[in-house]
Amino acid sequence: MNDTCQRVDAAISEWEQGHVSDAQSLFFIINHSRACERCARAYGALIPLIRRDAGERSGLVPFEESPSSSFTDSVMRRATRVKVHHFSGRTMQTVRWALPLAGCVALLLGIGGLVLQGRMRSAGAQVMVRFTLEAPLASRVSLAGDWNGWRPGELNLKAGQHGVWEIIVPLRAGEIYTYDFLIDGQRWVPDPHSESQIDDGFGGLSSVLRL
Amino acid sequence: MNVPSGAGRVPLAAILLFSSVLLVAGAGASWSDLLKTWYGSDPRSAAYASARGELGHIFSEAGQRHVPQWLLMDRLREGEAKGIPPDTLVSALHGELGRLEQARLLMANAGLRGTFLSRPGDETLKEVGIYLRAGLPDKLVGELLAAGAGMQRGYESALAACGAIMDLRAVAPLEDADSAQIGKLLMASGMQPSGYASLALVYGLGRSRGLSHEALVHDVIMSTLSAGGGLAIMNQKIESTPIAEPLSPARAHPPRAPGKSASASPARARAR
Repeated sequence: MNDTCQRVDAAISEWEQGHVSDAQSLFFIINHSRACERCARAYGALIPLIRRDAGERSGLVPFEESPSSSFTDSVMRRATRVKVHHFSGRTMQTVRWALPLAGCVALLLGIGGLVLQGRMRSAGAQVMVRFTLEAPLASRVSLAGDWNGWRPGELNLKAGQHGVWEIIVPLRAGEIYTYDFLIDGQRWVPDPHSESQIDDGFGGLSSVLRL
Repeated sequence: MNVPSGAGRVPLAAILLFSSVLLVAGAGASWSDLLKTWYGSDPRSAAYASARGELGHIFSEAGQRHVPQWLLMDRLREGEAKGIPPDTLVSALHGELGRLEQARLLMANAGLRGTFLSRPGDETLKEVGIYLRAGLPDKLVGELLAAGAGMQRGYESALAACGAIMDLRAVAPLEDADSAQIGKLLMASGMQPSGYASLALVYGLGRSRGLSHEALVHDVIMSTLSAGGGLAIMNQKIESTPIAEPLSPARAHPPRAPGKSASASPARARAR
């Protein structure tokens, strides 16, 4: 048992008595318990509760958009924009070209579909996912993940009350994502509320989100 | 304008040939030139100029091993965003390539099937690779994938089961044998795959009420799933269990002061 374990003991003790309320302390407990066998054995069962406590203030809440309100509306909006073409004797001459051309396009789309099918498992419905992070001392928090090519600074969280930063991002259901937060453009941290955090292969952690 | 009879066939054939060449060339370029494009278009890639040869080798090896290069690009961009030094990045990508190759092998051995509209593809490979990176043993993942192979859209259930086991093992010291059994029971249950992920929360709830790991795994989770039940029955079992013992972590601390009720613990109060 080292000094860090003793700090975790103290933090757990305080947490049990309801004295720990900041996410950084909870995050400290969760992360240390992952790396320390002794603390994992002693406190592993409490990790979900600690996460839930943190989640009471700033959880990751996926909520589904109604497919009918997005997809159908979108189709209907498109439908109203479609112009109706009336065939005349002159245009009939071009139909002879249009049909093979349409066949050609369909063939290409079919081949393209086959090429892409290996890449796309299924086009799941879009869900809006709210990401939040409690970082009262941060001046800037952004989110990056494999859905946006890990481009930092593209998805900036908005500061809310009590140092909680928030952003809502549309993602596809049925997919798995890895992501992290970037604090002040310098420090990458995993989402303390994610169900799983995995080794990022670079000496840090990545949060995993499965929708 | 008069069009000579039969002239339409020539342009059509030409269009088809030309389009096919374009398509094949375009598809080939998109898979093989991702790395070149990255070096050419992303200013931050300059930091990795020294690793260009090694990265190129990894990417070409990926092509030979039928591992989609865009999966490696995702990891490359992650490393770049995190400012990872070139040698560490190269080493991590080597590891990722090996993991993805292993994931492809596991999927092939399991013989996963899908439907016309939804079938295992590169996204599935990505997901299996993540489970391996999370530390799930190859054998366990292979067993769960194989269990899903005989089912309609079973790969989706198998992947969801892997995800649930990954989450569960993050909070519970679950043996491989128990992991495999719980995963298979989940897939055989009537539960929706999207509900599997709640298993870790159920486990946490049970532990917060003082149930032992063994009791939770065998008497609550496994026995409920074996009997065809789901999360609601597990919850009922947990809720009906009297709180007999203090929380397990409390054992690591000095005994509570006399007269202080264990149920006063905020952890328990919050769990209800």
